[in-house]
Amino acid sequence: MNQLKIIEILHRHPLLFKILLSAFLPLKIDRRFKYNKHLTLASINLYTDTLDSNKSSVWQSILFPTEIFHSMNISPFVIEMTSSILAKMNLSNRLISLMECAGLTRELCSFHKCAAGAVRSGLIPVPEMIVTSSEVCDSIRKIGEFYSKISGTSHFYLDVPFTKTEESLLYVKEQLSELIKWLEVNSGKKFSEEKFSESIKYSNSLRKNMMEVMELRREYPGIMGYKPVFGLFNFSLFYGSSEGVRISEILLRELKEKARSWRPSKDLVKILWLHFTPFYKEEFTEVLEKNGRVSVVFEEMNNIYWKEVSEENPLESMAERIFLSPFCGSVQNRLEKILSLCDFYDVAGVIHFSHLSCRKCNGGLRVIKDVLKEKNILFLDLSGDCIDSRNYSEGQLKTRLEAFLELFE
Amino acid sequence: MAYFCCHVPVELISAAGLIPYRLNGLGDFADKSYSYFPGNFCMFARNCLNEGLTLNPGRFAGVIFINSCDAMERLYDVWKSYIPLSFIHLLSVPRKNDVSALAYFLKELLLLKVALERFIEYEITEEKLKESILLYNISRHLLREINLLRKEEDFYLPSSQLMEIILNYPSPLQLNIKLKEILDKKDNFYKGKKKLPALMLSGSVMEDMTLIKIIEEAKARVIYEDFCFLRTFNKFVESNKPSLEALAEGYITQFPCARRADSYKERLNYIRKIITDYSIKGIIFYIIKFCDIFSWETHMIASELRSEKIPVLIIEGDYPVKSRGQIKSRIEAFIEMLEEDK
Repeated sequence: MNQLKIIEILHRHPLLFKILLSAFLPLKIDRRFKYNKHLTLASINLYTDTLDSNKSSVWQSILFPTEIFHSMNISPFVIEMTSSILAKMNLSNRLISLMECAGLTRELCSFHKCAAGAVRSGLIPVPEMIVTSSEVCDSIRKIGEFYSKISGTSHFYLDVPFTKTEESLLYVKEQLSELIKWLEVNSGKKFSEEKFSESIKYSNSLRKNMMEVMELRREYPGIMGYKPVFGLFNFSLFYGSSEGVRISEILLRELKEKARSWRPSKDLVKILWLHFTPFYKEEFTEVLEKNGRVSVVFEEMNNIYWKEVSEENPLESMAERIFLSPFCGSVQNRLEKILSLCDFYDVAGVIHFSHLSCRKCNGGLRVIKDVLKEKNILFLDLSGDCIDSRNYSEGQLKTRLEAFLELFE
Repeated sequence: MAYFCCHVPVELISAAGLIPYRLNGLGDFADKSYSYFPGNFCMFARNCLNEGLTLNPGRFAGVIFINSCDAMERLYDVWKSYIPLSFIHLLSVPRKNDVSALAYFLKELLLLKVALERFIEYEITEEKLKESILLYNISRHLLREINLLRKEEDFYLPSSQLMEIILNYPSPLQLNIKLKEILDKKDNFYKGKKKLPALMLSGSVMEDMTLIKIIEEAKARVIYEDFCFLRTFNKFVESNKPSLEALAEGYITQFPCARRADSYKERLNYIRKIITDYSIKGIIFYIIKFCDIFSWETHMIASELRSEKIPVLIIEGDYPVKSRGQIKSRIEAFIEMLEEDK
């Protein structure tokens, strides 16, 4: 029986799959911090919930506010994360090829082609509900429409305008209200103001803890290692749940404990990492660990850029958060966040991993690069593909990264 | 006033006393775009940037962008950073067309109107807007008349001829004269080319006539075109409502392109209707390389059409159209297949 068949069978038996994943996946992750195991297990729970027909679940686009889902006891999971899991299992290329054979072009985003292939091939059961947003990119909406076409899954689309004005804020807020009604209809669950309020409290607590993590990583550069730490991004699934708060407290305790004895080298060169890295292989980032003088002190994807969600006016507050996203609207929005992180972490260099088919991120890179240059911050653009290993060239990535690190000597 | 997208209400530009000029990136420009955009970036946006970087900016009073897609949003960012113009405005157009979207779009149109007024230093009156709406509605009416004739089997107006008129006459006054001329001389177009297979063309932006000319040379008739620049003319704007309201409603409910939420179903049904109404024998989709939304949508629409046994050819290519030989062979093979199926 081939690997694809085994995975397919496991996806039909969520409980068994959960037990197996929970037993084996924690063995493959970075075990220097215990929070990682807890976060992985909690993420597995959400993932397997989306496979379980007895549980309400929703697939969402990246950075979508999760508070509403958690308050209604609907398990959210990010579509792009599904692809990253499949890439870790070395299944992504086969699923991408399947979609390319069906007529999709090679140039389309591999995150989305992989997720589409997973459903089309029957590997993953069709999600009960899918929610996408224009805040992230164009292609994600088409995934929602694609699922809707092939399986009749209900799709809700959040249209986020380019610029934030009083009217655009109201437009998004109204859509979030519609989303609540849509979730009630499609999940059969009732929305409760009380539970939502509780969710907002959890969300704000998690935000506060993650801001403290940001502070600790500034005060003790390299405390979480010299490579980028993408495991933290999984916290984005837990805004609005008590689980997120619990695990972030574990992380905080661990960091504080480690900080007592952490003595970073005085001439440590600090780097900010933008976007992700390939999920199927990230060996090239070992160069950073081996070099030992340069550390990725923070990652753009883990940035907490929003204010506390207002308990009095949560939907408006969440709409504001959406507009603050670095990927919403103009590249100036992203640039502002990058500059503020450069300043906060006092970095000497910035590395951007350009996921090949991400027009949204890569199209604005020239503007970012020029502004960083004016500020004497060195910039490296590494090209590759987060999900499709056919576009991965380890040797080239390593050589370019090493050459970049030499600039700091 | 330059603009890019069919969602920009040209009536508003005309009412401001400016000629709406649709930038299409066609021309002999030096390719400077590679230092601004990555290699796998939308070729339309890339060529429009080349046009902006090469031409004397004084040629346009300014430029109006919309948030059409990821690539056009980035074009706006790059343009704003590197091409100085005294008027650069982004009109944020919703991707939905419900009541909330309409209310929001109306406010956005008001912002555009105010920005234009500030730029031209006089008011765009309701009267001028109404006049402008009427002029464009005449264009819409004339085009509808022409399209009705194109349904007739023995009427044949080459698509390239009609498209060139629409593209070359951005001023509605001149456009209306030219379209009227076609209708006045309609008898000249009854040439009985009915034996040639009737085709529909669909895609995003396609102002390069190369594709249509290749098809015409391959002895087929293109009798319906579904391209971006034609959507402006698809729907009448009501003239008995306050003008901005009418424009907002008219433009937001026009026949969708792939950027609109759930456009797939509406476009599929529309294409099916055109195929029946115009007795279309086959449909050719042209997707500009690296266009994410049209790639996904065409894949979905084409798979439905194929399941209904409607012949479909998908060409993914450059903008402007290159690889002429290769495209010609594919189109000829497609037409041959249609003739065999007769």
